[in-house]
Amino acid sequence: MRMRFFSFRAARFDELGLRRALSDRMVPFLVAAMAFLAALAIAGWLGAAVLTRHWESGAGAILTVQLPNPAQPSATGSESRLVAVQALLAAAPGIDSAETLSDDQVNALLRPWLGADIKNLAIPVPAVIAVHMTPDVNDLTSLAAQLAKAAPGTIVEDQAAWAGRLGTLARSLQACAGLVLLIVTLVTAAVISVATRSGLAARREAILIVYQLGATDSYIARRFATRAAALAYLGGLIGGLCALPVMFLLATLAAPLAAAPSPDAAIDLLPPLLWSLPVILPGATAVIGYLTTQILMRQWLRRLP
Amino acid sequence: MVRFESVSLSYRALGARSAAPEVFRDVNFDLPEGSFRWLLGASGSGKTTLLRLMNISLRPTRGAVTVLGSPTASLRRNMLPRLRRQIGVIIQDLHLLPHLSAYDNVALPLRLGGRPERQVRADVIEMLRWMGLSEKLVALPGDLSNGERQRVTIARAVIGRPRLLLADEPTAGLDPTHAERVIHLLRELHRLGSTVIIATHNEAQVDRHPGPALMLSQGSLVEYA
Repeated sequence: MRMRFFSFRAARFDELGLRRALSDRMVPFLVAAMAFLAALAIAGWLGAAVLTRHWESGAGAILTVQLPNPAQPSATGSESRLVAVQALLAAAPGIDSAETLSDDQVNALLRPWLGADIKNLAIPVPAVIAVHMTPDVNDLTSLAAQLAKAAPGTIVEDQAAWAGRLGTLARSLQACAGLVLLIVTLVTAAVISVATRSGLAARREAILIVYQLGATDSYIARRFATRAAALAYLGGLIGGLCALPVMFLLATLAAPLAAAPSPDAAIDLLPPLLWSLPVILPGATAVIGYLTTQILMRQWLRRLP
Repeated sequence: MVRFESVSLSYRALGARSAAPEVFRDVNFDLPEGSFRWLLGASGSGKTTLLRLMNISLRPTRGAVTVLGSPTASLRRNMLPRLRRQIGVIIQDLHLLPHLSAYDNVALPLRLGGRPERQVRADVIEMLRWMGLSEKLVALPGDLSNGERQRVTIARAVIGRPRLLLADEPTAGLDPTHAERVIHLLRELHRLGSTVIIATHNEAQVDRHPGPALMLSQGSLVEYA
């Protein structure tokens, strides 16, 4: 004879038989897959944001000034061209620092093209000034004009153009990640919805009996939604935990792009939100599960007499 | 308590243009609180349907049904569960939940009503003991005989001491001893103040327990004192 203990505690009471109707196998597995993809999409979104910020405040904020014949007198004639340009840069707004490279530093830069014997070559080598700007500087035209007026032939090279293109690329990646996140959310809701409909079909008679005995719509809907939320939470937890090692690997790979000195430093560079995903994702999937099931159940129950 | 005013009911087939024949036609009656009625009629005369109208699981095609003082036509949806919890139902299609023990099936209406678990336990064990099912507390419905299942269904219907009890052939499938016990239980419930309506086609049973009756025949209802 099949027997079971009756439940003296209402908390364990499963009058709708949901433990069997909403299986604890398929839903967590599918939600875990969606949570895994969501974690990767969020990692991509945040990673792209970090890289954009790094490029725009790093490479994009560096200006290179090449000054031919630095020792010759400037256009005003009272000082050398180098001193005149340095003075202009020091006085210009939005300049964080301006460092004139030493001969050795310039030679080191040119060595790949001109060889080790560079000091003996009869080629005039320009002075090079590395200028770090504050992020709020947009217009370099007037600065370049001032420098050219004081020291004709001065070349101002700004790296904002390619940094901007990289920024656009990163923002496109962010948009794609956002789209993936939206699709993953919808698919998760669809998975929960299919599971709920299947549970409804399996427990239709039990629901009708409980309803006839005086259960409210919200009571029945809450029973289903709580079960669905628990399964979705489990799926989200599994997916989030599975995504952690992958995110660690991606952070390591991204370290050189973020100019981090080591993979550990790259991990520090990524936002804490990314590492709290195993906590956030289960919560999010549980909320999706709860709300989806509540909506479905209430729609279905409203049709009952 | 329960009032039917010019109630008619017909099942219209899906997509059918012509009106279906009426199950009931202009049924009128008024049962005051605490009354008892046998509901008589041949098989297929509409006894179960009439009980389902009283249980608000069916709505009339025409006319007005008032249950426990509430007109069902204007009843707001959120008021239905509270009303239903005051109605005990023994109807053939309101089965026991197969995955719950006899104890849990009987406890269900009390738990839905938010009764404290200690009280649920005492009431359910006492009720099942009275029904002769003390040894079957943990048995699933599938492991019970037809008669035992029927007794669990009756226990579930009466456990909350409902204001209105609707019983459709409550002694069907029971041996004479248990049938008598069930009828006594329902009469006792009536004596304690519940309105009790028992549908049956068993005239011998009505003769043994005489009382006022409603007779359903060919869609009309006749009242006998």
